Amino acid sequence: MATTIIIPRKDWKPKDVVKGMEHPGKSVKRVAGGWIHDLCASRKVICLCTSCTHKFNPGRLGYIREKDFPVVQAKCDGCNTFDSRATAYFFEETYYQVRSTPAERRRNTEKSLLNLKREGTLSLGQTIRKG
Amino acid sequence: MQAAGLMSGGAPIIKKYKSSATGYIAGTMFIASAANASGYISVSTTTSWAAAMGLNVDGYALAVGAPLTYSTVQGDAEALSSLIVNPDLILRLLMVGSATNAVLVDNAVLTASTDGLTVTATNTMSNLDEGTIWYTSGVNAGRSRKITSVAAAVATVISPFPGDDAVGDIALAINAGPGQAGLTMGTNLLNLLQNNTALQGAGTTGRCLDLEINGNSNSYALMTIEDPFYGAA
Repeated sequence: MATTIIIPRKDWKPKDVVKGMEHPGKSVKRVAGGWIHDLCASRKVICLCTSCTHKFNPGRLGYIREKDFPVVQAKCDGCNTFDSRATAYFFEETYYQVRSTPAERRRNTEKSLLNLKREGTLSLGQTIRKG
Repeated sequence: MQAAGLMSGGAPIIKKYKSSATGYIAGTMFIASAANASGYISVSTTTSWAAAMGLNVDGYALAVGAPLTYSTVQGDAEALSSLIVNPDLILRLLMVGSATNAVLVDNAVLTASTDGLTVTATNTMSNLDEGTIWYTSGVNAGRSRKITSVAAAVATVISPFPGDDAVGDIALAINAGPGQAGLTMGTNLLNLLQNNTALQGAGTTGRCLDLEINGNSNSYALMTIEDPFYGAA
């Protein structure tokens, strides 16, 4: 009697496929520190879970901690664990290319206001009400 | 473009994906790649954000603005890009007046208005109906209105500006406004093209959430993604 092999099939949708396409992170043979240094050398965003984040010194590598988003949901680059309360570190040079913070927006508005005052459109004590 | 927040106020989801093709720089929108591409994400175009995967927050930049390039050499590292993939991501885009990132076009008032309802300026605004106009100098500086009709270089509003403009006052007019769909990006894929040639409803699938109106070089549009890959119905 012939053997029947039943292969379970799943109706994969494109979304399922892409969800499975995330880079697996460091290989099991690699030390986390070396992997993260490689990521830093190519100026990647570093995401670390609550257990790993204290082992990373962002300032020494030209990174800054994301403060406007105090937590991110990401797979930890140190231990490959998905953490919904991870911390993100951005390379400082590219940070303002990809992130807008309230402080930056405030500076922008103040600069605009100052220009109007300089032009004499507004008096120095006057504030502008956009509308 | 920049990530300015999430509509839900939650935490962003950051994923590291394998990249395909070249030309990636931090701050560009990524879309699902086509079949047979080397990776799973590809860079968007000036007129398409179809199946938007998310905002690229690093690239493979060895210098600011330098593009990511994947390698086909055995032994080389894989090209990765980190994306914020939330479908409700709020994007902040600098508005520019040309595809090559010139500042927004200053439109000097040619004929003074006596009722605050029309702006008769130097440059044509023929395609900017339903857009936004504001002054950067003169008595109405900082005031904006929705454009309700246009005729060549004349823009009309319904809610009048508080003062009568004077010849030489500078106005800026764009086709974006809260709720407007469609946007055309500059050639670097980072900035939002806003001039008389960038038509509403055309271009990529983004929708304007709000405007930060300032001067010609520091005005921004806040946009949402209309065709998110993970959020599509």
